[in-house]
Amino acid sequence: MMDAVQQNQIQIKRDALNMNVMSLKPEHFQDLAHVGAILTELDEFASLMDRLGQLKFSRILKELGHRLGQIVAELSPYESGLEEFQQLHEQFDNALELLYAGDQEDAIKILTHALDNKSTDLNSLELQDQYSDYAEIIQLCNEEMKRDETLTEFISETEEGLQKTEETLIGLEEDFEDQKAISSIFRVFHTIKGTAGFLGLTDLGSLAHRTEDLMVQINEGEREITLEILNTILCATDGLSKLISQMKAMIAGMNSEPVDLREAYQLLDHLLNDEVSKSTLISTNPTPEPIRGVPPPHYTDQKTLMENHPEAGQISTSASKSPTNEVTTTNENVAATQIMDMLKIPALKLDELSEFIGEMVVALSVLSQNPTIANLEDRELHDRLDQLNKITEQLRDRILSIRMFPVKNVFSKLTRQMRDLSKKSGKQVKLTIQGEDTLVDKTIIDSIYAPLMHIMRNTVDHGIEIPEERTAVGKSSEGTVQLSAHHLGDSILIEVRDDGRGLDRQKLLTKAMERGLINERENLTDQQIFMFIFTSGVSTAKEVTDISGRGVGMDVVKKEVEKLRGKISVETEAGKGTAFLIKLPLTTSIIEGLVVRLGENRFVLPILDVHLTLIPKKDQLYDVQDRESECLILAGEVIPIMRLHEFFDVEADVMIPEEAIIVVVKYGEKKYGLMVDELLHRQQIVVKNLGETFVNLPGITGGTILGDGRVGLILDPETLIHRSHNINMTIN
Amino acid sequence: MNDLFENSDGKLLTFLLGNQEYGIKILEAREVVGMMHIDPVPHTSDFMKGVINLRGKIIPVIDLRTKFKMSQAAPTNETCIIVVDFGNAYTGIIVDFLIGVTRIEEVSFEETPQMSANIRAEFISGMAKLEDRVVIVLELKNVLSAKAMVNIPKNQPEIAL
Repeated sequence: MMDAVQQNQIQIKRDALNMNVMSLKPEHFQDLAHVGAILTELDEFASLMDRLGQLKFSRILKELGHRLGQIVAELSPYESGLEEFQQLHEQFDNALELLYAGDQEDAIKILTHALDNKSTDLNSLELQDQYSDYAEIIQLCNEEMKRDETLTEFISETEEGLQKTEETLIGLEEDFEDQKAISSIFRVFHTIKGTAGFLGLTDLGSLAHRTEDLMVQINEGEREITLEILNTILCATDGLSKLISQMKAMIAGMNSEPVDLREAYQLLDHLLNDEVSKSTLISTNPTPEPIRGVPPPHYTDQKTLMENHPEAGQISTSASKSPTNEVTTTNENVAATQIMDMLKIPALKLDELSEFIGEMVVALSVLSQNPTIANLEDRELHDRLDQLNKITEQLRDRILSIRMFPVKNVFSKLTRQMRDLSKKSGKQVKLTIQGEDTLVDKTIIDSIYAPLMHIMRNTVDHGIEIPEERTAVGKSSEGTVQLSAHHLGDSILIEVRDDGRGLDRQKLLTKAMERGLINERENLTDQQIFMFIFTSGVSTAKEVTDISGRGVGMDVVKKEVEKLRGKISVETEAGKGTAFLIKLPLTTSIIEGLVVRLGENRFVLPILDVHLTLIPKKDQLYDVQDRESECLILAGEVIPIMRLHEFFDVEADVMIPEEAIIVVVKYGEKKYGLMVDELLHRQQIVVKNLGETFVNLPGITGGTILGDGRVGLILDPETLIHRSHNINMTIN
Repeated sequence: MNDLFENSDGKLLTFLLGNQEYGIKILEAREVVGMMHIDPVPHTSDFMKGVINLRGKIIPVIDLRTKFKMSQAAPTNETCIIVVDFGNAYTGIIVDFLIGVTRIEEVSFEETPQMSANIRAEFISGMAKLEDRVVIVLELKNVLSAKAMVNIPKNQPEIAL
């Protein structure tokens, strides 16, 4: 029988695992991070069960991990492999339930049955004839991996981790108590173990595993750090580094020396008080051609790599051949050029680069526009300038593209959260995802998760109805939330669309009135009312729930989106569902802008905000009260005209709308016509902060350097309109 | 003001506004550039002349004459912009004439003396007496206080909905 504490420990692991396993989809097998997380969970769960003495359970968990690894390594097909994996997991979960109920015997029965049924039992792997198949498949798989980024990424990550560990170890020598250092080392070995595990690099994996065991003891305070321990870890780190170098060499098709891991294993075994472990036995046993026969678990990867490259010679952990085990420098250098090198660069450096390249583009256009140069009739000079322009633009595009990443990361995080949400809320929600490969600027990736998460929460909590309510109105009991991303011209559109009950127009209206945002007489369009959902303090949930509904949030979402220079809007239909649409620029630092002139001043309007531009005809303009030409009628829509020169209190050439050019900007569903003297041109601009001095300027969001080297201010139609709107409301 | 003697070694960058010599701590000065085109920024105080492009950085420029309520003067060849680095932000200040670096002794420095000058006492950190002249040392912190710079008119023109 288990006690409550144990059960609780198990339950935590069980929940985490359930969530991850359920959300696992075939497409996740390309995403190492997700699968890696599950593997780690399985692993931790297994060791928990081990500690609790539930060996059968831990066995199943290991089997689950093994299966997952096989699917990743493409030894089992994605779809059916996953299905089997999930079935096995279900049996495991059932057995757990029985265990909770105290029915240990039946639980064991289920587990035994589950294990027996599975042909790829862990034991069977050790059978010789099966093994050779296995080896061949791994070999194929490794062949593929040579070209695969995964391996490259693993190598570069591991190298980095090991180097960091070395540095940390040196620090630890000074201060044995440094917990942060200890856990950082632990994490490194843990990661190596996990990733190596499912890449099928058992050699690396098992050494990392051994070291991790030692680290666990230290981490949990079972063991004090001594110089001997540090030395051992250092030795293991060396061993891993050498294995990595060897791998690099082999991938590059170079000869490489065998790696002697004896010392590391001996030290580890000595510390862990183990009998000489199996791995050590094998590593001291010189088997130069271990293709048939029981394979030493910790050198499968080397062996298979070698099979791909027979010229790599005898590779084994056999120390008798070569006690000095350095990979020669030349080999390593060559290897490094063959594997794509990964660099980690502070984002700041990239930002500087993109800023400089932005400047360069501007400087170049200043140069080309220089009257003296422009008037020169030197064909060659102009050709050269054109060429320089092209190169510069290409350079800029390249630099910008470095910052672009697929939104996949954010989406898969959301998928996991969604499981949790639907469980908590007791509603059935299915999440579908589209366009997860859409590339977006890193800044956006980093900041879009929280707002999206918030929208999802609102959707599950308020939008989707409980199953009974859904079936009552003839919908399927399972709600659907569709998360999608796609490019739309110069911007990216992210949509969260549900098939729930839709926003409640009346309730929003009442709330808005309660909060004094509008008065009763006001005649608002539906769209204006729905936009109130983004106002602080307006939330339509009847009760405050665990998930959302405190009335703060949607306004924060809007602010977050605006910080990224994006727009958010909402579409809804009662009973049919709601969609939140987030439109974001591709990058935050460079935007497409429309440069307009107003007297001496030049302003830039973000193209995302511009609906259209026009020269109004007399019959399109309408007077309001005693002011002339206050409104523009466009396709039956009344568009208020905003005299920018009055708002900014600057001199303009044109004072009356029929002689001016009107730039119609869109804010939500509302359109405003901005009156300007002239449209100058459309160009890409580097957005610059105006600094704290101008932080609260209404209508202006930043500045940019224009083609002639002077400063142009970037208009923010939203605050422009908002401000004039507010003023108008108070006057009313 | 301690850092005038501790960090700046009593060194001032001095300039003329009208006939009066003013100084700022040498550590606060970043560079001096000639007068250039300044693009105005709406809704700012009258002394905020606008922004300039300083090698790709946009920095605000203020006119000390206006700030100190002195008469306006058309820019001459001598007019220049001292770029100061204050609170991690660059700001340009327009001055009539740049004199240069002057070193003052601690004994000759008098903190916030009674001033008959028409500029507000909080803008001044003290006064330094040199052999033949007096330098007013500015307290840039107060001169450049960002609060005073943005000036949003209360009575906006009405714009119809």
